[in-house]
Amino acid sequence: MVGKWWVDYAAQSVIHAFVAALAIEALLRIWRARAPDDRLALRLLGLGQPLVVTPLLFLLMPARQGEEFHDRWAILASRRWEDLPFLGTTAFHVAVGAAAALGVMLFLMDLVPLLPGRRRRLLPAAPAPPELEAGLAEVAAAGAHRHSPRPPVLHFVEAPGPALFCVGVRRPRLVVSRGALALLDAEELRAALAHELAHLRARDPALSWVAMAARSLLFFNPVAQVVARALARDAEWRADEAAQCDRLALASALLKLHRAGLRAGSPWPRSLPFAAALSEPLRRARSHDVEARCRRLLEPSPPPSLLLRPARLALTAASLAGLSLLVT
Amino acid sequence: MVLAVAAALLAALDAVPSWVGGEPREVRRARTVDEVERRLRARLMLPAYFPARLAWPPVRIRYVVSAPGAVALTVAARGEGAGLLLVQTVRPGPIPRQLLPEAQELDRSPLAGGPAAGVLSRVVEDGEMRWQLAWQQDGRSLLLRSKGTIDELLRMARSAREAP
Repeated sequence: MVGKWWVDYAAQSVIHAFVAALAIEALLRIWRARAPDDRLALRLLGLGQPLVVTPLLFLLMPARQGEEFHDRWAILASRRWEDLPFLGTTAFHVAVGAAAALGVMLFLMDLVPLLPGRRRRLLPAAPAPPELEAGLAEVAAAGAHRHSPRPPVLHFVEAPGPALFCVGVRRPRLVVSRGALALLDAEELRAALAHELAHLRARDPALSWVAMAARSLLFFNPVAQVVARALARDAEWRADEAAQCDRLALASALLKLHRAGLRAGSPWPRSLPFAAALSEPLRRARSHDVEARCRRLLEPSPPPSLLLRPARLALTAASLAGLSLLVT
Repeated sequence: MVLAVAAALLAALDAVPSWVGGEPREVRRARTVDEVERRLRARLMLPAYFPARLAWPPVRIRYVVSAPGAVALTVAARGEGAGLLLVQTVRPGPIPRQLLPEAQELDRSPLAGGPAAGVLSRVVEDGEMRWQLAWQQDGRSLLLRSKGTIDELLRMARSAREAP
C-alpha cells in the first residue's frame, strides 16, 4: 500500500479498538454482565485487539495492506477515505491525526503526574495509632484476606488531608493519613482497609503498571486509553466486591472521602495509574463514578457471574479477531 | 448479532467515500501518475506526441486495481478547448466500464496497419459528440476520447509507449 506503514497501523489500531470497545459495551449490556471479574475480562479482550491482534495481523498478513485485499475482502478499507479531500489534505489523514493527538493527550494526562520530577514523595511514616493497627490486623485476619501473600506495611502519615491508598509492587504499603482517620468511623475504616487489602490481594498495583505499559504502547490510540481507564474503574468495583465487608460502611467511607477530597483536594497526586485508593476519586474520578459505586454497594448481594464465561470470552475474542482481519 | 451490526456499520462507513465522490466502490483516485504506477506496479503507456493545447499533468487520475488493472487519465485543455480522456489497462484484458463515462456510440470504423490498429468511433457523451480511438498495444487495451481532431488522436496513439 502506498504511504507510510505506520499511518496504516495507527488507523487500524484505532478502528480495531473502537469496534472492539463498542462491541464489548453492547455485549456487557446484552449479557447483563455485572460481576466485576466478567467486565474486566471482557474489557481486557477489547484492549487486546489493538495490543495483540492488530500487530499480529500486520506482521503475519502483509497482504491485507494491498489494494486487492481491500477490493475483494475488506469490509472497511480506511484508506478509501484518502479519496475525500479535507482541510487541504485528505479525510483519512485528518482523522488519523486527530485520533493520534487525542490519544497522546489522554496518555499524557495520566503519565505526566507519574514522572519522577512531578511525583511528590510520601511524607515519612509516623507511628501509627493503636486503633489503626488493630483495625488493620483485624481486617487482615478476616476470611477474605486470610490467604493474602503477605501483610502490607502500614505507612501512617501525619497529614490533615484525607488519604487512604496502597502503593508498591515489591513492597506493598498501605498509606493512611491522620485526616482519613479523623473522617471515618471504626466501621468505615475497617471497610476501607478491607477494600485496599482486596486490591493488594489481586495485585492491582502491579497490574496498574502493566496497564500503563499497554497504554504506552498504544499512546496514539484514544480508544485504548479510554478502555484502560475503564479497566481501572472495574478494578475498583472488583475490590469493592472482594472486600467482603460491610457494604453500607464502605459506601459511606467512599462518599465521605470523596466529598472531603472535593473540599480540600488530595495531599498527594496519584502515584500509580491504577492506584487502589479510596481517596483517588477525589481528584480523578468523576463524581458519578463514585455515585455508581455507592449504588452498587447498596445492592443487597453481589452480582452473579456469567454462565459459560470461558466459552463466551473465547467466542468474543475469535469473533473480534475475525472482524479485525477484514478491517484495514 | 452484535458483530453483524458492527460489520454492517463498518461497511456503511466504507461506502461513504464512494457515495460522496460519486464513484463506484472499486474506482480509486490517485494524485499523480507516479502514484498510480506504484499502486498498480506497472508503467503507463503515454503518448510521446502531446498537443500543446493540452495541459499536463492530468487533472484527474482514476484507477481500478482488480484484474486487469486500469487507469483513466483526464487531461484538461489550456484555456478554451476540449480536453482528453486516456484510458488503458496495465495487463491483458478489457477496459473496465467503471472508468469510462457513459457514451452512446454512433458509428465505428476499423483502423488497420501500424501500431495504432484499432477502432475509431464517434460517440455522444453528455450530449456532445466526441472521437474515440480504441486499440491494443503490447497486450494492453488503450482508449482515447476527445472532442479534438482525428489526426490528433491518431498521432497520439501512434506515439504511445511506456515511459522509460
